[in-house]
Amino acid sequence: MATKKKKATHARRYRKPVKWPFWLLLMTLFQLSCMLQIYINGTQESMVTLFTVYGVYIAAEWIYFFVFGIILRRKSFEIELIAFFLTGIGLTLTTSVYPDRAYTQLVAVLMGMIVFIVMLWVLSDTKRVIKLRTPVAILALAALGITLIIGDEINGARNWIVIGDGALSIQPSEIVKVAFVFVGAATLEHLQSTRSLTKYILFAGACIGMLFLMKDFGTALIFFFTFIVIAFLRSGDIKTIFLVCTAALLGGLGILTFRPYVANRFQTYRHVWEYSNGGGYQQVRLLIYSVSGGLFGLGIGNGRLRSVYAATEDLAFGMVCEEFGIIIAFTVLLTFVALVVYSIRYSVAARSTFYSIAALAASSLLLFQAALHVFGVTDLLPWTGVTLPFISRGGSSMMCCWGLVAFIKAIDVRTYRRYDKIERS
Amino acid sequence: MEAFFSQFEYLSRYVLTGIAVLLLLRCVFSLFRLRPRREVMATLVNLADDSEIEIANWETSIGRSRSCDIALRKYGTVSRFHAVLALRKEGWFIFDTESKTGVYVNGEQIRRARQITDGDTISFGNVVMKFNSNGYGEAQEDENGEVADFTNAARLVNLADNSAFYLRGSCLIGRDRHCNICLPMRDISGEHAEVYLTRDGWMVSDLQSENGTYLNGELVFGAYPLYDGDIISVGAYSFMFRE
Repeated sequence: MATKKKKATHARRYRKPVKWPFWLLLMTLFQLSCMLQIYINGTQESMVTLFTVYGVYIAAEWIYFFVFGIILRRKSFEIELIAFFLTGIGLTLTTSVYPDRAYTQLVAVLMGMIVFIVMLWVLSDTKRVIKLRTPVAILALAALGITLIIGDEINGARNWIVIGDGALSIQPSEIVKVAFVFVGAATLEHLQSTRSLTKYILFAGACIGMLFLMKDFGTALIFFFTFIVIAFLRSGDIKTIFLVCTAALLGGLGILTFRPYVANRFQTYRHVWEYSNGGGYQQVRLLIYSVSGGLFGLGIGNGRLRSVYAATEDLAFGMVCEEFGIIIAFTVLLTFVALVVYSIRYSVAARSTFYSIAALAASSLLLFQAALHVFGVTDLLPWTGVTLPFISRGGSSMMCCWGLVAFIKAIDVRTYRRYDKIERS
Repeated sequence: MEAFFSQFEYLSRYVLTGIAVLLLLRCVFSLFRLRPRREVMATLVNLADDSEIEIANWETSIGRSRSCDIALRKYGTVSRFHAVLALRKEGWFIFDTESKTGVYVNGEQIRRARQITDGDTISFGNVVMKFNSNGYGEAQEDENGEVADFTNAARLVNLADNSAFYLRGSCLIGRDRHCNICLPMRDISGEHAEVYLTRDGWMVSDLQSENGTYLNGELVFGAYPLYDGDIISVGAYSFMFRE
C-alpha cells in the first residue's frame, strides 16, 4: 500500500508541467554567469555590447514567458526552455569569439523568436495551413532558383545571397528547410484523396537537385533524409522508400563517377591526421582541443579552438566541448534525441496528421543535422560543414531552427489552450 | 576583487554544468512524462449489427483497406480509402476521399466535406452508421454569446460510460437534486465534493462528506489542485479530469 501511494504521488509530481518561473530564473543565472566569465576574461572588449546583448536577450526571454505564461495563461514551456537555453549557449560563444558580430547574432535570435511566434499562429488553424501549402512550395522553389542564379560562393558552396558589400548575407536554403517540412505534411483527408507521392517527390527532387548544383551537399543530405521521413509517414509504404533510397544511392555513385571533382571536397575524410596542417587542420584542432576541455570545460574564453577559422559555426560542437565541458555537450545532444522521442510519443494524440508529420519531420531534421555536424567534425562521416542547430552562429540558421521548433510545439494540444477563461461563480 | 574573480571562474564551471544538466534533464523528463492520454471522443454504431466502433483519434480513416483505422473489410461497396472522420475547431466533419459509391449524411450525398452532429446517420456504400458525439464537438456558447472552444474546456469524464461533463465555474457533486453532477447513491453525501476554478487552475475540495473524496486514490483534505488525467473517486463513481 505504502509503495503504491508513493508511486502515485511520484507520478503526480511529474505530471505537473514545469514550473517555468523557477527554471527561467535558473537559466537567467546561467546566462549571467556566462556574461561575467566573458567580462573577467575580457574577450569582449566593449562593455556596452556585452551588457546590451545579454540584457536584451534575458529581457526577451522574460517578456516571452510573461506574455505567454501570465497574460495568455498557457502551460507547458519545456520546448521553449530548451530552445532559449541552447540559443543562450550559442549567443555566449558568438559574443566571446566574435565580439563585433554579437549584435548581428542578437538580431538574428530576436527574429528567430518572431518567426517562432508567427509560425505558432499560422499553425493554429488547420484550414489556413492547408491553403498556404501551395504558395509556400512555389516560394521555396523560387528562393532556391534565385540563389542558384544570383547566389555568391562562400567556402565552396554557392548558397549565399549577399546584399550590399557583405553587410547582410542570407542563406535561403536554411529558410527553405521550414518550407520543406511545411509542404510535406498534410491532413489525413488530403492524404487519402491524393494517395500518390508524385507531387511531393517532384518538389523534393527539385529542391535537392538545386542544392546539389549549389554544391551544398550537407543541406542536400539533410533534405533527402527529411524527405525519406516524410514520405514514409505519408504513405507508410516501405517499398517506395526503398526504391527512392536505391535510386538516390545510384545517383550519388553516378555523380562521383562522372563528376570526380565532387569527391575532392571529401578527400580528407578519414585521413584528417595526415593532412593535419592542410585540409584537416580544423578537424584535427577540434579533436585535440575538445579533449582538453574535460568534463567541466575550461571556462568561457580560455579555450584555444576559438582561434581556428569558423570556430563558432562549423566547429560549434568542439567549442561547446572545450569551453563548457563534455557533460553539457552530451546533454545538448541528448536533448535533440529527446525531441524526436517526444514527437513520436505525442503524434498519436495530435490534432491532425499534419501536426504529427510536421513535428516528427522537424525534430528528426534537427537531430539529423546535429548528428551530421558532430560526426562530421569528428571525422566519422564526411565533413559537410552543416551548423549545429541553435548553437552555431548564423542568422538564417537561427531562424530556421526556431521555425522548426514551432512545428514540434504545435503538436501539443495544450499549446493553444487558455487555462482560466472562466472566473469562479 | 581579483581573488573573487578567480574563485568565481573556478566555481562557475561546475555550477554552469550543474544548471545545464538539471534544466535540460528536467525539461526532457517532463516532455516524456506528459504522455497524452486518449479517451473515447465519439462512437459510430453500425446499424446492421449494432456493433459499436469507438473513436479516440482526432482523425480517423474509414475504408476497406487493412491500413484504415476503421477497416470495413467485409463490405464490397466500400472503397479501399473511403472517407475520413475528423474533429476540427468547429466540430466533427466527414470528408469523402474520392470514394466510388460516395458518402451520404442523413440520406443526402455530400460533395467533399460536411459537418456532422450528434445523431446523424452516415452511409458509406451499403454500410449505414449512426454517429454519437460523446459531448465533443458541440459548440458551446457562454453568457457573452461567444462560442467557446470546446476542445479547451475542462471536463470530468465518467469512467463508467465515458460520458463527459463540461466544467464551468464551479461544479457540485452529490446526491442532492441541485448538484451539477447528481449521483443518487446512498454512500454519497448530499453535497459531497466540489470542483472549482481558482487563479491557479482547477481545484477539488471535499465538502465534509461522510465517505470522503479520493484523488488518485488519496483522501482529499481541504483543496487540491487538479491536473490533466487525475482521477476523482466519489463513492462508487470515478471521474477523470481532463483539460
